[in-house]
Amino acid sequence: MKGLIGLVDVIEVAPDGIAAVGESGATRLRPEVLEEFGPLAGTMHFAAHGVGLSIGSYDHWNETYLGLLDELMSSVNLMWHSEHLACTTVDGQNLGTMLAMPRTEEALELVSGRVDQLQWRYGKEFLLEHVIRLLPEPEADYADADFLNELVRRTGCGLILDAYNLECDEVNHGFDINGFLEGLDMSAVREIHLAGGVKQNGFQLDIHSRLTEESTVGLARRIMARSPNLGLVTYEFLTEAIPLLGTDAILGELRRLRGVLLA
Amino acid sequence: MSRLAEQQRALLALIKNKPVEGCDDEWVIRIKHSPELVMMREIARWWRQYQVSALCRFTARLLKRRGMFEEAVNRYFEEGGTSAFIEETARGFLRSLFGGHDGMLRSVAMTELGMLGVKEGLRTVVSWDENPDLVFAALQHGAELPELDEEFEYRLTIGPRLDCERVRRADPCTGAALAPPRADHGSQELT
Repeated sequence: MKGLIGLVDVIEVAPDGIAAVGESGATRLRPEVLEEFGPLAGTMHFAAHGVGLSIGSYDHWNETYLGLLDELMSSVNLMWHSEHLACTTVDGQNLGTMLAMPRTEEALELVSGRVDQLQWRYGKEFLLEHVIRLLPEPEADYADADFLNELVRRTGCGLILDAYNLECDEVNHGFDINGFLEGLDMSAVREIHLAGGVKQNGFQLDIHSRLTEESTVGLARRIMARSPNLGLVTYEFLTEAIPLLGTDAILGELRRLRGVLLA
Repeated sequence: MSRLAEQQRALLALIKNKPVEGCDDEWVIRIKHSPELVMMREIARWWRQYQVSALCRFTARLLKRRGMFEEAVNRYFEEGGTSAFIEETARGFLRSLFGGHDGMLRSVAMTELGMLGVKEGLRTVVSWDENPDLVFAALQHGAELPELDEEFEYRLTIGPRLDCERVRRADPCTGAALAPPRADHGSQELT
């Protein structure tokens, strides 16, 4: 973690990624990870980026995740917190993947209400990130950009645009990135995500296991140029990818991205 | 049922490879046999297998040796309710192996579950029909697994330190009883 000083300004933490089941059976943040954050608090900022809240589940979201977020908020001063605009749990069962939300009025009402609850509960800025759409689209009431614009209008939440996810959708479904960016209220974009992944059976997958492609960096730069309220660019990689990539390559990637994006 | 509920419940069933009953949603019917769904199911399985391999290292290796790994992981996730948290997932998976007839697999799984409990201060005692040192060394180095030890059984205590007690088996003719394992405060005996 100390090797990151000077290369990153913000550590984005996935609360569910640093959780463990305690003796009482309760899921808590691992104290040894929280201890690592302490010495960095003077030199770095922190943000939370959840994976398992399941804000889009028709039945209920993940209360355990909220407990972890409570704990993180009481330990670290977060600049904001965020989640994926998706469903990961149905009827209390984990799907093992993220389902994108249909762009319907029903989904919009459900998610808007939950965003309102989160903002009321924490009094802190909240961002939502679009996820890749692996399955063919269900019938929709809104276009992609319009759905996000309406969500922002109803709740005041911010957005994360993931340049790599947009590229995945372009490869997998011919998604019109330019049209999407034209239609989106870019003033809501507070954060950009960058990542690299793999292609399998013709599908570009959002498994963040690689360094960033030039095309992804180029798209991020285009988004940056159009986002007046941007506060953060994040390079995402899975813990599981560290042995594959190597620490030196990751540090080199951070240096490269910093140089290219801050130029 | 709302349309969102119907679609999400159908997706849950489809990802877990179960039949979707009573759903006439056009989109669900359209994706049911799509290559995209196959890919999504494959990704979910890959993640689960990866997580189990990472957190239940020796159990995963033994299952792979037996040619049962994929089937065991898929069965666990397709049949049971599963957690969004990796450690809970690992514990649930290990527990799911306790009921089988494979004694070595049961002991390895119990030992790994015991290891996960060490940082919470739990002591666990696990009975073995083989010398656990030899089993773990074989799994670590890809060597041949030891045979059942007909003379001794082993009581492995997992806590801040590992202790292995070797106990002569009871004589099947005289039925001489074994000394019970020591059970300290805060321990759990998994047999």
